[in-house]
Amino acid sequence: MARSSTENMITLMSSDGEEFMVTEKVARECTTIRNMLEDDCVITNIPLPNVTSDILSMVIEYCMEHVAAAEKAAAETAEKGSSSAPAAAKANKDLEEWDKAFMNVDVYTLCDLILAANYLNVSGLLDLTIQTAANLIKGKSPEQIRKTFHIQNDLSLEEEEKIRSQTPWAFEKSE
Amino acid sequence: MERMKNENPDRLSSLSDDLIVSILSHLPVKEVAQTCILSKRWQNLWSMVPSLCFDIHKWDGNCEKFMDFAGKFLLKRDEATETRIFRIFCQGFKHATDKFLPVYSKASKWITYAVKHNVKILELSFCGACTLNFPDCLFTCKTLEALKLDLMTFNFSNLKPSTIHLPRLRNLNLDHIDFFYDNLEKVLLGCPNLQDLSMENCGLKMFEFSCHSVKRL
Repeated sequence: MARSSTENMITLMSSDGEEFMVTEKVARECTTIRNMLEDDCVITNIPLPNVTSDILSMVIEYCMEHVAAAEKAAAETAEKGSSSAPAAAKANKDLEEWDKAFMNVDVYTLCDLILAANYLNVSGLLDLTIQTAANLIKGKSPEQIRKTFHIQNDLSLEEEEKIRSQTPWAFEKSE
Repeated sequence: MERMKNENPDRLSSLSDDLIVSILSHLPVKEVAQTCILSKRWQNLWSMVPSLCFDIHKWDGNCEKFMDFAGKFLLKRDEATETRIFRIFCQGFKHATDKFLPVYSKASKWITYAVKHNVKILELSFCGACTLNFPDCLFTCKTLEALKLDLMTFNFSNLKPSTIHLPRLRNLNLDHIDFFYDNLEKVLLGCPNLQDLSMENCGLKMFEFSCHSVKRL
């Protein structure tokens, strides 16, 4: 679908002063920005002091991909009268694959994306990043989790033993 | 970026409680509980997780350990935290259903716990040739939005709630339950917002259906 030339452009400014020009439609994927635009429709420049440029560019990439996928699905529906189920399933699968590839990031970036998705209120990205973080924890021992996420264990040996002895049921082997 | 990584390598622990708890909501309860020894920051986060999934497979079907865990987990859990999602899976062990009997005697207590903590989504999967006592409060739960019951080979002689009033229930998914079929009218009257009703192996024959709110069957 051709992008209309009259489409409003919004400038998003990252905490380190970089400017990103995006269509209003893409910006609206962020509920926080959508609410700002609804309160004040002439706003064209939005400073985002909590998001660095590298993270903001990723959030925008995610929103653009998802807007494009939704537009493509809507265009197909309009063309054929109704969307064909196999085509819609394939489009969903493609988008899932894209999401999966998009989540191939280090744990720092992942946590920063969680923060940004939460702050900008991009529910799809928040769900995706939270699930990805959960998958990184799943099946790991406490020691492996600490290693993966660089968690400094500030409990002394005695403190850790005390917690274990107070909650033996949590650490019991099944057999 | 590099500088910030060096300043605070542990990004996960610096997320807000709400975000960490959201992450933990995707893990099995056993792993949730074990995060208490990661560091001081993590000591109590496990107790504030609102979505709980108890799956006996995580204890290799060992009933006693499973029950001990579930009982203590719920007891030590933060009392002010809601249980928005509560799931119990107790299926899949062929020829071993009798040993689950003790679990069923406790299940009623756990369901009551979930109802008291404003459960929204409740999923129960049990198997066994015995009776399970459902607490009456389950059928008058004001917060319940989705209920999924899969109760293979259960005897439902005592699943006869006198009152059904589930004002927010939108999804009802039943497997192997005949009570609801026999008393469908009563169920529908008690669930004014039901939109999605699915029944499998519920002794369903042919029946006429007229209920405006139900959109999908």
